[in-house]
Amino acid sequence: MPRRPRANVWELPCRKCEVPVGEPCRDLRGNNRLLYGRRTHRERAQDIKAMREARKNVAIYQPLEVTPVWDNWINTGTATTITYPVRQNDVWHQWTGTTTGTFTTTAYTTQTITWQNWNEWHRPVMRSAEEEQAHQDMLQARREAAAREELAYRQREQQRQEQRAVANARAMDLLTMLVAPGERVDDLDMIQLVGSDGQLYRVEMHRQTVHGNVVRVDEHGCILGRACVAPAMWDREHGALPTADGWVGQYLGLKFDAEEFLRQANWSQIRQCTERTLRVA
Amino acid sequence: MTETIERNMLSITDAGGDTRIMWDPRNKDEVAAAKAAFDAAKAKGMLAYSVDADSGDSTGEVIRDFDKKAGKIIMVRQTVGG
Repeated sequence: MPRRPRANVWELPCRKCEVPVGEPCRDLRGNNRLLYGRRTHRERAQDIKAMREARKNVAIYQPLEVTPVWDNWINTGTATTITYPVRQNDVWHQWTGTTTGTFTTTAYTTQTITWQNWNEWHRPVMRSAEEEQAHQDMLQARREAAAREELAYRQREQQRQEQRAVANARAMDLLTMLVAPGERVDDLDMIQLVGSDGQLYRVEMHRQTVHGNVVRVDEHGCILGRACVAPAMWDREHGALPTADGWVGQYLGLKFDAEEFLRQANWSQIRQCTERTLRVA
Repeated sequence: MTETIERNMLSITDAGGDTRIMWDPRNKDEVAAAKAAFDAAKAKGMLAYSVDADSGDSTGEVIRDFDKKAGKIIMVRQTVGG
């Protein structure tokens, strides 16, 4: 049995996360990801369900002004054997040729039902000129609405990106203002500082993240451990912080309150120094 | 003779980068506005650091109350482990 084609769950734009037609919904929890698989927001699923219901109703219950040709034929035609060779294949032709009229009548009845079903299911195809025009208008209106929504989404997205760029620039400006010139290692895109606990730390920035980017090193540069700790980067009320603001929080925490700051940390890659015999001048 | 007006700064990190509030320690209104912003951020659980970034090697400390004489106060959200 052939498998039913999967319904398009992105057939309409989502009014919750405002993505346009054909794109998966965005996770609104501030992590800038898409909802996995065919999962969508409930609002979008409801819209699509309502649209399908409406479409189904149009397909089944649209009134007819043009009577199908075959209805006329069935209603006015007589069950004579003259009409059968037109629609019967060779097998049926042979079969009817060797049987009595009773079987011929049965075949006619079957054809009537078939054609009535055909007419029933294909009614929407046969529209009057006015209905066809109304249908085309409806399709055009739907295309315009989709295009309008997509444009509005693109404009909002562009605005959001511009705001994000400004926020990132401000946060980087604050970081630059705080970090002492000797602590910034531009070549390696990181900050190296002595924490308030006397240990040497690096805040890595090359991966553009605040997760797992705090590294404790020794005087040789051997990595002694990697900490995942940062200011809360987002909340529902105020949105997400620029990444550089996270680095500001990490820098200040390590520099002025390392013990308390690292109390929240999850550590990984904990190692011993591999250059114990090496003395640093 | 030109008088130099000292302007201190409170920077509260937020989704727009940060919100900066400047005040002159001799101006009561400005001090009150900065203190109100400090207290509001503190009430949300933010941490405050008083920083002297102009001393070559940054020095500073964690503060719990608003200090109108602090040159720069930076407020960041509460620390969480990842």
